[in-house]
Order: sequence, then structure tokens, then C-alpha cells
Amino acid sequence: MSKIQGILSYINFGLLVLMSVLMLFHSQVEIPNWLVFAGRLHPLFVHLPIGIYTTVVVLYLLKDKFEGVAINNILYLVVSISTTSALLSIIAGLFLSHESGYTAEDLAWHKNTAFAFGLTQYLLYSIFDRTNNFVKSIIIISSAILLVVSGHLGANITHGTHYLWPDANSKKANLDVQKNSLFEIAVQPIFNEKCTSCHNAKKSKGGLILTDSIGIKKGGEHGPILLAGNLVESKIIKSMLLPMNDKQHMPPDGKPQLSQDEKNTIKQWILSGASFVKKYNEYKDTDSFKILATPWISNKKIEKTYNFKKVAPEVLASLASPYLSVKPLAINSPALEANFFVSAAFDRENLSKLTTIKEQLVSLNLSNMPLDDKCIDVIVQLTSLEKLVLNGCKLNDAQFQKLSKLPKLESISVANNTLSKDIEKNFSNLKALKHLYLNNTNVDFTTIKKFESKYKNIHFYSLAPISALTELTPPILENENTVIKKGQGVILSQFINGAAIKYTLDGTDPDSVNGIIYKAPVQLKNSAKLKAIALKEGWLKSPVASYSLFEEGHEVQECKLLTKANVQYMGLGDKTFINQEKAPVTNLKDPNWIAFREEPFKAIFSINAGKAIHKIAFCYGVQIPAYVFPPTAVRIYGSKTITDFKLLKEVKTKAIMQDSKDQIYTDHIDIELAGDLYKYYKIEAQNLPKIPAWHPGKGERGWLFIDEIFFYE
Amino acid sequence: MSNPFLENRLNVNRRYFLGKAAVGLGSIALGSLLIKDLFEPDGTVKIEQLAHFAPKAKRIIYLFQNGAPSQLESFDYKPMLHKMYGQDLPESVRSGQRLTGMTSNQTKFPLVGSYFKFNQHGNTGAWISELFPHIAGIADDICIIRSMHTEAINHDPALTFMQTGAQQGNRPSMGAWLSYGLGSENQNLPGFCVLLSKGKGNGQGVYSKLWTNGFLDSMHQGVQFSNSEERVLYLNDQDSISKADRRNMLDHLNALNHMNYEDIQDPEIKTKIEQYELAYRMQTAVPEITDLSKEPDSIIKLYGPDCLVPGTYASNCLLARKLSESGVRFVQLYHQGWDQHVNLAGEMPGQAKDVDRASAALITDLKQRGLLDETLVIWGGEFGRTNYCQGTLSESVYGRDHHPRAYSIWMAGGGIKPGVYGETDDFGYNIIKDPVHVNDFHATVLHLMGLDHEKLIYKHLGRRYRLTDVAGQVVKGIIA
Repeated sequence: MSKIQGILSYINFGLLVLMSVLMLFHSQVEIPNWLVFAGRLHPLFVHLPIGIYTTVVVLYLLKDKFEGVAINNILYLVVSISTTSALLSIIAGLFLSHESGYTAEDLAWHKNTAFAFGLTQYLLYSIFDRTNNFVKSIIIISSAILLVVSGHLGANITHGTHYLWPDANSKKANLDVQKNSLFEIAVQPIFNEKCTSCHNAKKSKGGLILTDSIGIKKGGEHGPILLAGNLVESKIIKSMLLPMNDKQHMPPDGKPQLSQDEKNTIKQWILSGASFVKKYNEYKDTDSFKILATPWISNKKIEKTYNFKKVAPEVLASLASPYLSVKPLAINSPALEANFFVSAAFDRENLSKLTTIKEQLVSLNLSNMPLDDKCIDVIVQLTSLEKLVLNGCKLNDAQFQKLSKLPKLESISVANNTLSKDIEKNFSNLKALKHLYLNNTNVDFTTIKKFESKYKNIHFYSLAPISALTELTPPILENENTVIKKGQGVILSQFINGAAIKYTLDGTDPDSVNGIIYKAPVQLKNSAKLKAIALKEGWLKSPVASYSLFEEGHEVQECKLLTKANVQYMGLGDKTFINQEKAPVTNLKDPNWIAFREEPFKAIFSINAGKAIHKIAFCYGVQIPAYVFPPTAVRIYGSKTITDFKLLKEVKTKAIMQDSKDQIYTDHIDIELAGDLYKYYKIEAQNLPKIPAWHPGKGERGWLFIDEIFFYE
Repeated sequence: MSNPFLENRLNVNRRYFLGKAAVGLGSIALGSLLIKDLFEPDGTVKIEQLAHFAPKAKRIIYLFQNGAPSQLESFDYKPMLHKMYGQDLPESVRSGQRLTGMTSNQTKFPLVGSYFKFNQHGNTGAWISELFPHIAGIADDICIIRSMHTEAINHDPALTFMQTGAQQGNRPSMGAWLSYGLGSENQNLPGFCVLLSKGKGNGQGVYSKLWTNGFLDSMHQGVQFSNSEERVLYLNDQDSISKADRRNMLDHLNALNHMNYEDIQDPEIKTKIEQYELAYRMQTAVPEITDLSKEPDSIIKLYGPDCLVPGTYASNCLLARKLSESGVRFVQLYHQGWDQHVNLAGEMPGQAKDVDRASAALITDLKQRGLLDETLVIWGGEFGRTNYCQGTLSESVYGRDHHPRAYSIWMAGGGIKPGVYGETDDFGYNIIKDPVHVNDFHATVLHLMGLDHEKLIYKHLGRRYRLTDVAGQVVKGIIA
């Protein structure tokens, strides 16, 4: 006897540890195939601890009725066996819990309570011989409670929640969305519950039988009880809605009444055509009856199941290409979907290969692939196809007609193709069709709208044309810089296909009348303000784009600064003025800017001999909030030697006012010269000596930012 | 018969102890055989075993509104804030919520309502502000979640949290997780693409750590598209190199890399080989995708003509549609400039105008192609904005500080049930119904893509990581 107990104590301890490991590391455990069998034994094993533990409880309660110590030994043995069986069945259950198909919440509580039962069982077993009756009783009772709760939760998982106390809704469970009509699923149960006790084949009050569709169609002694699509003419609705005290009100006073949901379901069923045969999937998603009936169907059954054989992995591997992906619709689904990528690499051979999996291929996406008639002939062989995406495939009517031979097609996307409204005769033949996307084809919006009202079972998504005029985007400058290289010309472009560009160089805004149509690069003379717009019929003209442009200036041999630039903004030094590059006004740190504050700008420029300069463009930037102002005056001196400068011209600028609209901009001063031949030019520019009183920096010196000085012949 | 109780006690000797210990250890060993990756090195999870549900969506386009758009001027209508204009936020509502350094020295927290009017739209009667007329037009296609909440209060940690599930930037981004979990559909394009644009408003930075692969293989890193004319930099061959030359060069380079791999066994070398091959295939695929010139006028008008100007949000939306249509698993957009601390009423219309039309157009465009069912579109920022004013207050000039306790985002497409989910109190400060934590949001997104967030695990440095780390519950209420 003690030997048996000894062996059992090892076994039980081992099982306890194993159970705890499996429980604690539940999320990381994976059950190999050969152990799945052990898991499936769980429903068998569970009955052992239930029976044996019941025996423990009974023996424990009755133990005083027995004489001698034998009862204790027997009880101890039964507790040992009960513990072994409990641990074994819990371990089997933990294996089983890794299989899919259980809802997480139900399972979690069953698992937790069972685990707790296992622990209390082992506790009872291990202290059975060394504790008093009080503690033992508590453990036995709590263990029993845990067993009852866990057993009940387990039964719920196996037999369903409503197994013990069946409720009205349970009838729906036996109906299959794939096989039964939605009427049978959602409407007939209402009749069965509230009406057929009086309107059945044996007891047909008013001659009406509501137990099946034949009786309902036939109606009662006063004729039919319903008219499809018409609530007013349907007697069943009338009697349903009459006040309670009316004699004709149904169900009669005192019998269970229809709930509001049930009334609505019957009403919407009649409105949607009172079909006795239409299945769930055949109703449009927007159908009110379908929406009301959906709660009658558990989610699992809406998902389509496929019965065909899985394709062997070797076959899938043989199809593999970077330009074609073939994958299961979902993990473990035998159904396949195929997608083609990169139209430049499209190969009809890849498409032809799909015929080897035509039984399993339910979804095919060939968007933007260049399909020809031969490709269409291949697609037609793929008879299991339910979803076909052919957006932008240059499909024509004849090709579409061929596709309409695919018997199972539920959804076709053919946006961006050259289809005409004649395809109506083709798609109307497709019995299973539920979605048809026809936008951006030659089928216009109003025709699609017409289809929509004509074919209630097909969902078209019609994209209303945008009637409001849309503004074009302004033309853009293609030249890399606003300094235009000699002979290159100003290149303009715009984004919208087929839009024209008009431009002016005289500072006026171009519009439909004013301006020159852009045809070829615009040749500049010195500097100019170019303004341009884009125009296209059916669109609003774009806002004006304006660019200050400079022709590349005459090459300057050398520039020598006479004053010092501010140390923070030294730019590229002397070169800054003559490197033929402008700087962006938004970034004053750009190295093409050079700035003066403490001292005014003074520099000497030496020019290739023999060129007469007629114009100097002095370019500067303005950022009023950052204390950057235009020069107050620019003076040009000329000389043939490096000394002896003669003042040629002085230009003064207007003071900046507080209400000045532009705060941040670039500008330049054009200085016309007589064109004498000078070798050296000295240029002076005065920065604002005192910022005016309206500015936060009043009284301080203003900044002068220069990016370029152009010399033109 | 001997006394078994006594015997039992006498059995507790050294032999008994060792015997039991052996049985216990044996059981632990037996159980541990079933723990799948216990004895495997880091990063060896079998991906085939991950997908647990039939996916509702195949691809994601995430329109990230970087800088945190105000929920109170967009999707969370709070008339109470008008009634209590200028009054202090009651302490009982704030109840100890920490403040940012920008408003922590404010003595008063005056409430301010939206300067912009709200109207109800769609079958669900969702309240949407006048700043988003086009999004209001697709109200029946979107699910507005008004009860998002996060743990971070400043941009960088909050952004990082939204993108990677952790506030510190060392974890893989959502797109990287999905690329890892589901692989790439189209082998000619990266599975995770990133597009950037910027509005006029105060721009908060985006950093490449937001689309990092973290500890995952670097092939899952997001590939940033450039806003220049060459959308993927350095992809095109130099003029003098022919396609055959390039192939030849790659073949030899691969051979060298393989030799190196044999020597060192660094998995990153393998990644490098794969990346070169991907780039080679991208040379054909990318020009086709980024060429927007073949889009018909009707589509251009739908997105607005800005969609042809590289670098705009609209152009990124159109490009996102084309990438997604071509099988890119995760397209991540960031639109910067939503951080309206001071002049909210002045700046927000410009920001909204940048994104409103194109965001709605993307939904409409996917729908008209029959692709919305399989594409999940997400629109939203990293946190909300306070119901009280930051800085100077008037009815038309006010600012709002960061607010992590409640904000609004919307989702549309694959598996989403259109409508309005969650609710905040009359002050728009605390959530009173159906809160959605960032972890819950991640769990839900993974769920819609067919992945169990508790099973998408990567072992790194001896610890298992998830996008949702140790939290997260799927939000069933927004799933169709």
C-alpha cells in the first residue's frame, strides 16, 4: 500500500510541476502535432476528477460512520487518485487550449478556475495526513466549488452557453447562412415563436398557416396576407400595428406580443421584396433588412469557407516571381489571391501559369497591367474568380464581354478603362455580382446612377464629377537659379497636362488677354520681373507666379572691399558680390549673403578692359522684423586708374513706412550709366543709420544684406 | 497493517528529497520542451505562425498629423467651452494633470471654445468643424475616435510612442513590425514607405527614428521618399551605366558579400545583399509609381491640383494611393506644422486647408477603385490640445498647449465600422466613455491586419518585445 502511495506521490508532484510550467508559460508554449492527440483526450479525462472527487466528498462526510482507521487510508488513496486524474485532465486541457476556435474570455476563466482546482487538490493531497479536520473541510469545500464553476464553464465551451437553459435565440444556431435563406434565419423564427401556436397545420385559425413559406404565400381565408414591397396592402402588417384592443390585432391580447425589433424585421423583409429564398450574401450591404437580420447570424458564419484542396507548396513556389505574388487569402485558407506588379515587367507567361491553380484562385489583381486579348482569354479560364481588379488595364467592351463568362464573379473593379455603357448587357448576366467599380470610364456619372437604381443587388460606387471649377497651380521656373546663364533663356513649366502658360516682362499681371503665350525659353535683357500664369479650359487660371530674374552679368575680374562686413555674415568674402549667385531671403545665413551694419558698404570692382558698362544692378534683401532694410543711397564712381574716382550716379531710396505691405523680400536697384569705358568702379551703399521710431529697434543701425552686383554692357 | 501516515513521514529522507527534486526538475524540463523559443537565440520567431485571424485589411496608409492638431477645433465639439469662455478650468477637472513647461507658470487657465463652427454630418450625425469640409463629406466612411489618450506630454516622446509603442526611441516602428509580421506584398518596392510634407505652421521635427526597424532586421526599416524630382535618391543609374553593367556589378558584389557572410555570419550582410537586389528591382518599379502625369484630370481635381507639386501633402496622398495600390504594406505620411501654441485660430485654417481635401480624396479614390475594403487609412496626431488658453486670450486669438488625456483621430476602410467612438466630458478634458490607449490602438491595428498583438513577438537581448509591450486590448467597438 505504502509503495503505491509512494509512487503516486512522485507522479502527482511531477504532474503538478508540469501543470504549473504549462500554465505560467502558456503564451510561449507550442503544441507539436503528436501531442494534439493528448489534448483531444481532455473531454474524456475531465469526467474522472468529477466522479472521483465527488466520491472524496461523500466519503469525507460519511467517514465517522465507518469504524477503524481503514476509512482514512481509503480516503487518502481516493484523494491521491483524484489528484492524479485532476492534474492529468488539466494538463490535457492546457494542450487543447492552444487549438483555435475558442473565445478568449470563456477559455480564460475555465482555465484559471481549473488551475486553482488543481492547486487545491494537490494541497489537500499533500497535507491530508498532517492537519486538522477544520482546515481539511475548508479545502475540500473550496475545491468542490472550484470544480463546479470550472466544470460549468467548460461545459459552456463544449455545449454552448444556452445548453442548460435554452433561449429563444438558440434556434438560429442550427441554420446555415450559406444554405438557408435569410427569411428562414431571421423571419420564420419570429413566426414560430409568436404566431404558429395558433396558425399551424393542425390548428389554422383564420385558415392561415405560418409554419412554412407555402402557407405564408397562400394566406388565410380572406386572401393573401402580404404584398411584396407594400406595407399598406400587407394585412400582416396591419394586424400587427392595430391598437391592442382592436379585435384584429395580432398576436391577440394576452398572448406574447411582437417586440419592436421583430416588427421592424418583418416590415423591412416585406419592403425588400418579401423573398423566401434569397440568402444573406445575395442582399446588398445597405439593405435595411440585411442590417436588421445581421445580429441573427453569428460572425463566424458570414465568413466564407472554401472546401477545395490546398495547393501544394511546390506548386506555389513554381509560380513565384518578383512581379507576381500568389498567397492564401488568410493563413490556413485554401483559397488564393494573386497580384501582379510593375507593368513594365508584365509577362503573359506568368498569367498563363495561374491556370494550374484555377480551382483555388478566387481573387486576381492586374491593376495597370497592359492586358491584350490573349491575356483576357487566360483570365476567362480562371473560373473560381470571385474578385477581379482590372483598374487601368486599357480594357474595352469586347474584352469585358468575355470576362462576364466568369460564373462566380462577385466584385469587378474596372476604373480607368475605355468601357462604354454597352457593358450593361454583360454585367447584368453575372448572377453573383455584388460590386462593380466603373469610375473614370466612358460610362458617365448619370449612367452609373441609373445602373444603381436599376440593379438593386449590385453596389456601384459612383464618383460625382467635381463641378466646381478648380484653380490651377502657378507655373514654375525650371532654371536652377534666378540668375539666367547667357543663351539659356528662362524655362517655365507647369504640372497640369495640357495647360498653357502666359507671361509678361513689364510688371503687369498676365491674364486671358494680357501677356505672351509661352512657347520657347524666354530670352532676358539684363534683369526683369517675370510674371506668369497657367490657363486651361475647364479650370480657373492659376495665381500669378512672379520671379525677379537676372541675366548673367559681365565678368568682374576682381572685387576689393574697402569697408568691413559684419563678422557674423561674411558670406564668401569679396567673391560674394560677383559669383553670379543669388541668395534666398528666407535664409539670411546663406553664404551668398554678405551683411553690413557697423560700416557702410564700399568696394572697388575691376572690369575687363574694353567693355562699356551701361547698367549696374545692385541686389539686396529686406527682412524688416529682423532689422534688415534697403540701402538709403547707392553711389557709383568710375575711373580708368585705381585712384581718381569720379561720381557717376547716385540713387536714393524711399524710406520704409510702418504700413509697408511687404516685410520680407528681395529687391534690386537698376543704375543706368552713360557707357563710358572705365576699368574700375567704386560702389558705395549706405545702410540705414537710424531705424525709425515705429520699429521695435528704433534708433539702432539697420542691417544691409547684399547678395550680388551685376554689371551689364 | 502499518500506519501509512507514519510511513509517509518516515519517507521524507534524503533519498525521498532527491527523488522528488528529480521528478520536479524532470517535469520542468518536459514542460520547457514545449516552450518554442526557449533555447533558440534572439530573433528567431517563425513568422508563419503569427497571423491568427482572417485579415480585414491588407495595407495601411497612416496620415500622421505631426504636431498634434487640436481636437477641439476638429472633431470634438464642446459648446460648454463657449459658455464658460474666460473662466478658469476647475481644479476638479484637471485633478493634478501635469503641465508642460510652456504653461506651468501660467496662474490662470482660462477656458476657450472653438473659433470655428461645428455642424453635424453623415448618417451618424458626427460633429465636424467647418475647417474640414471635405472630410465632413466622407463622414459616413470614417470612424472618429474621440477618446484616444497617451502617456507623453511632449512631441518627441508622444510621436515616438504613437509610432513605436514606447516613448524611448529604440523600438521598431509600426510599419517595421507589420513588414516583419506580414512581409512585403510587392517585392519590387519596400514594404514600408515614408513620405514627408510640411505646412506653414510651427513645425515639429520628424526624425528617422520614427520609421526605424529598431532591433528588427534592417530590411524592415521605412524607406523615406524625397520631395525632389527624384523621389528615391540615388536610385537611378549614372548616364554611363547600362542595365547590364549594373546587373553585372551587383552579381560580383553579391559574390563578395556572400564570401564575407561565410566568414563572419553577420545577418546584416544578408540584409545588405537583399537590399541591393530590392534597389535593382525598384529601378523599374519606382519610376512607374512616381509618375503622376498619367493620372486623369478627374483625379487631379479630386485631390486638388497641388497633388502634382512634389512635396505637398496632396501629392503625398496621391503617391500613397499609388504605392498602396501597388502592394506597399505600410505607407506613412507625416504632415508637419500642427503645433498651434499661440495663434491657433490664425494658423489652423491653413493647416486644415493643406490636408482636408487630399485626405478625403484619398478615401474617395480608394473607394472608387474598390480598394477601400482592403486598405486601412488612419488620420491623427500624437496628442490633443488643452481646453484652456495658452498666451493671450481673445475669442479669435488664442493658443492651446499639449493635452495627453484626450484627443481625436479617425480611421477608415478595411474592417472599420464608420461612426463615432468614445466620448469626453463637457470640458473636453477627460474621457468619460470607451477610452482608447495608444497600446489599444496598436492592438486594434494589428488585429485588423490579421495579427494577434500578443503573438507578434521578437526576442531581443533575452527579452521578448511586442509593439504593445505588456498592455493593449483590441477595441472591438470600432471593428465592423
